[in-house]
Amino acid sequence: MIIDIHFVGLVITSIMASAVPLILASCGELITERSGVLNLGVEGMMIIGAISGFALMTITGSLFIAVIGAMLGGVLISTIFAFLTQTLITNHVATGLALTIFGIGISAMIGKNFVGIPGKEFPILFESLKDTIPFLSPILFGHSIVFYFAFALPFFTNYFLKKTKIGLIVRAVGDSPDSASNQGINVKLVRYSCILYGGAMCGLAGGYLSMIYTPQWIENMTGGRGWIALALVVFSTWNPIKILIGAMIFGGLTIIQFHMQAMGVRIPVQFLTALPYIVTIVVLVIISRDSRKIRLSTPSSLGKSFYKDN
Amino acid sequence: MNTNLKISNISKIYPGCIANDNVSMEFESGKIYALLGENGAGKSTLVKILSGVIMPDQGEIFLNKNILKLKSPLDAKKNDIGMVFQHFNLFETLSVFENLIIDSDETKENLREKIKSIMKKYNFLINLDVPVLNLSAGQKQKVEIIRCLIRNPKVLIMDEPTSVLTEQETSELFLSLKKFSEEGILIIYITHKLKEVMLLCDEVAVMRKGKLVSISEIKNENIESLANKMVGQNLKIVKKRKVGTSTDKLIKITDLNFISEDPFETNLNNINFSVNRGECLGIAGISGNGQSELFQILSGEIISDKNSIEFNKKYIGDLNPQERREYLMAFAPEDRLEQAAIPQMKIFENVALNNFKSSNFFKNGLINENKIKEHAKKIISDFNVNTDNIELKSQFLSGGNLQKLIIGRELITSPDLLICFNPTWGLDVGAINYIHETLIKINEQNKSIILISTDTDELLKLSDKISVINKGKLSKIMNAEEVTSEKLGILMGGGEID
Amino acid sequence: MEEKLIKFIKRDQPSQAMFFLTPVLAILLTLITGGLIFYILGFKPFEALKFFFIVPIADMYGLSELFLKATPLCLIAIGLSFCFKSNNWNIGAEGQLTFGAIVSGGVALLFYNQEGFYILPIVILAGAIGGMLYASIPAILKTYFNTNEILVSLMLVYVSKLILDYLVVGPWSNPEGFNFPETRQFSESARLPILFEGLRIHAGIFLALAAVVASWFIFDKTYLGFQMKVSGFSLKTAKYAGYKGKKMIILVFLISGACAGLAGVGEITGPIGQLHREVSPDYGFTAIIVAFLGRLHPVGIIFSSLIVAITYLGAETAQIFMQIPKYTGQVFQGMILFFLLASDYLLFFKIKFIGFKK
Repeated sequence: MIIDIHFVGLVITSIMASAVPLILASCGELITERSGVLNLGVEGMMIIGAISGFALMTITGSLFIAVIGAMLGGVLISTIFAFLTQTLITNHVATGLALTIFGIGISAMIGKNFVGIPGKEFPILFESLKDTIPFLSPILFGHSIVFYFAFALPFFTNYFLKKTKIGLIVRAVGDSPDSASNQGINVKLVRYSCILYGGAMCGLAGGYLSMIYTPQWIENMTGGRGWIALALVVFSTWNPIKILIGAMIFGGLTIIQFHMQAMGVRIPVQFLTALPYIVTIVVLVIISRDSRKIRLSTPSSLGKSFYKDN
Repeated sequence: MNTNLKISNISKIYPGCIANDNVSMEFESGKIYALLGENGAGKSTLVKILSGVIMPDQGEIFLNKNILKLKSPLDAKKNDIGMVFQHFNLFETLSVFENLIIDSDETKENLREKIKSIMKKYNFLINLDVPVLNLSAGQKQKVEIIRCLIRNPKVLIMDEPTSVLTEQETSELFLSLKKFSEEGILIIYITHKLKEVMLLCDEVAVMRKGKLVSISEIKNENIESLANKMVGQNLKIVKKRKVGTSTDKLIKITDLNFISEDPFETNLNNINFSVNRGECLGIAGISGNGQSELFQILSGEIISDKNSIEFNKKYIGDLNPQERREYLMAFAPEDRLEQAAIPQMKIFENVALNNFKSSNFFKNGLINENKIKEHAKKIISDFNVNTDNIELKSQFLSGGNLQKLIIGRELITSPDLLICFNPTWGLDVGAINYIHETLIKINEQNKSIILISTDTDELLKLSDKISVINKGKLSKIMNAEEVTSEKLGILMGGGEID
Repeated sequence: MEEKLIKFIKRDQPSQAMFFLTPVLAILLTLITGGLIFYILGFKPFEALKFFFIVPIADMYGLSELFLKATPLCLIAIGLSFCFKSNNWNIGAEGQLTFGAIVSGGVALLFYNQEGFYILPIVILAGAIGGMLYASIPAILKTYFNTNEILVSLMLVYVSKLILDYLVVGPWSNPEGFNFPETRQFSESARLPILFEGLRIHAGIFLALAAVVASWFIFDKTYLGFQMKVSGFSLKTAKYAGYKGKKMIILVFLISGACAGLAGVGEITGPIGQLHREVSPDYGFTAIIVAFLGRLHPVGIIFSSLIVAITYLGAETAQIFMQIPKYTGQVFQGMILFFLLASDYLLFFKIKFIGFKK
């Protein structure tokens, strides 16, 4: 059996493409969780981004507006979550779930008129270089700007968290909102911002699906990727670089499986698809056993409401 | 620099309690001042006012003749008052350097230089780039001190700083504080530990029950005199008449140890004591020295080695509270609202929390409401709880009435041993007296009490024997008649007596 | 100095009146907003609302469908109330439902060509056990490994769906089924009897009602329920009273898993009669909304399950008659929860109107 290296390059590229929405959504949710907020509404924010982007693309014809629109859609709906959990101090878990359920529903309603409409051709960069080098060039060249942005995002996120003052403040709020508040940090404002940022990234992830990856609008097209993104944040122990690796693994599993079947390897699809979830549980158990370890990896205020008596 | 800090007629009143009563003091830089007192003396309140955490009801603060309006901790920082709290305000998962830079406006390079020079000057050896989580308590405290020093404070306030430190770390701290003082920083050191006051400080201000009792120079004081001032001279309180107690040992604690993972909990070391029938053993001490842990071990909320607790000739160290109740023990914890009762539940439901043997509250697993209500009514009448309505949610009871309900719930089954922790804190005089009379009565019925309390007056009034708990260790057990305020003060202050 | 127009003042204790009013308020606000959304998207609001909420239950068949849909919702929500009341966040009811369906379906398939009155009880029991087993995973991980139950139970949902998928298209696929993704049909003995000729409502409703009565009984009348109540208020007090915290956590998860598993049984032994690749339109998640809307109280849950069931039916009806997408049901479900959570603020805070002051 000869392995065509160019073919492998193409496979890798398709894995990378499927990883893009996971990277975007997970990096967004990562920031939210680092500030101490667990937003289960990732799936909802993604699907709203998907329809917002696609709708704007169809209506205005401008892809630029569409991409911004996808992000804005995510921001808008995450504002509901932020308002409820930070100002009205509602239960995070229930609110996040409501967000997902609502998001899927309203995107389907809005999307009714956009079903069956073909997507627009999205500009790709470095197209001329696409077939120059075997193996490498399909990986490096010929992708949309969103694709390149997604692969740069984990590094930006890492830099932001570790090297910038604002990133430091986010981590401080996630570590101990009480201490942060005692030092004059506006915890609510920080969390609002992180939630909205998460919304923007999830929206962009959805927009990528509907405008570039598929490209089409189908009801519920995110198909559970939002939940995988949530799992990915935990699986990567809140580390952006690990998200990049994990997204390739998670995103690529079905693609790998397809090719494995073609090569005669018989493992049930479902097993491979279930693997990310199972591994995430294992990771969770491991990091939860050592109280010191869990302290160092998990934002400690995750899920608890922060209400300061004035 | 010369700094003058003047506190003028500061008062702070909470419902039912005067935390600070017209307190006036003046501090000068170049001296280390001790602010000494027991629990409830008012020192924490005063210091919270100084550091902007709370605002006084009356009075002013002057720094170098300028009046200060401190509305928040940030205001205090801006006015060159630095404060190191007992419970640190650090971010454990962030590095030391990140903790320090977070509330600073300086550039990273400048700050690093500044920190390095501070560390060099005072011989602090801390790796700036490790997570705070990995530091010892002493090192964490140094980080907090550095955080203050970066802002060049004129005043540095330390609140009970040595409660989490080792001997070695304490000596290092004292060296540093002396250096700071020499450089002109005004140091206010809050403590209850007499030895430290004598070792470290130049002047001492003693507070008691919200008032400033004395200010004097250390050279004019010694441990005994300070102890007297701290605890107060009025031991003319009528102690209960000692009823001839039997020598029948009811409960015996042997070699009890408790190690906690939580650095803010106190470990218990080598606890040994026994209590006879009809006796009341009082355990005195400043809060935070292990009382809460001791209570939980005695109640069974924390399980210990089976043989370390012998009750009525049975080894019960590994039983939980419900099981211990079956042996006729009862427990009244300090926390009325989050431990002993549930405010949102009705009075009779709270009564059912003590499901004593033969109560029949939950026969066959079903709630026997009539039984519980009957029992609740009896408690209310026997213990003078001011309400007719057992369906009322207990949040509507006043503090005194809720405490009477709780004590009543524990006592009505006539347990052989009642363990209570600060049973009368926050109550009005009437409720306090009632509860004290009740406790004396049960001794007269040949039942025993272990009374853990931070109120020395209460202890002296009710106890037959007294021991002091300090840093998780119990002192020698003394007969109540032998105890003087001096002895108590010394023991509570961490010292020793022969 | 200007004062705010509206001020929120913390109440001394949660308002009793609001406790019952807020769900009503939430429903009203949902209807109004729903109407608005319809209007904005170009549907006639009143007509849409009519097809959504009135038409579906306007006849006997519709009513029976309502109860048919409300049954699993009610059953699961009752189970969830045990968990939520004691501060255990079981988000994975959908997974427990699925696994219950898998186990009971597997047992039913064993008897696919047999008759006997004993078969159905075994199948039902198998479903409950399946749900309990699956729920025990997050329970054990929480109690003994200190692992967050939200994330674990959530992840397990997808694992169970994938197991079901694998079984239905793989080993359990109907050999005489022309490769359709479904198992054999269960024998008549393994089916929940239909209650009325021509309607789809089946005996599963008795399971739901039994659960309602049982949960009311447990919470109101038993020591166990009392302990759960106390644990929900304060773990410290529960410890002081000597309640066995770990055992209780496991117990509530088992109860919840059993309820969800039973709901799964109801789905497959009811109208469907076999295993498909999917057995539930996310009942397990919607039941969380039902539980909150019903204030975790058995009677409240009966009502809230009916209300949420209408949104499922309404979505189907609205799609048929007005081509409104079926997912609209979720719009209403999400909105009800949003409004309920938001108006809960009024439980703890009073609104006071203050005019502008100088």
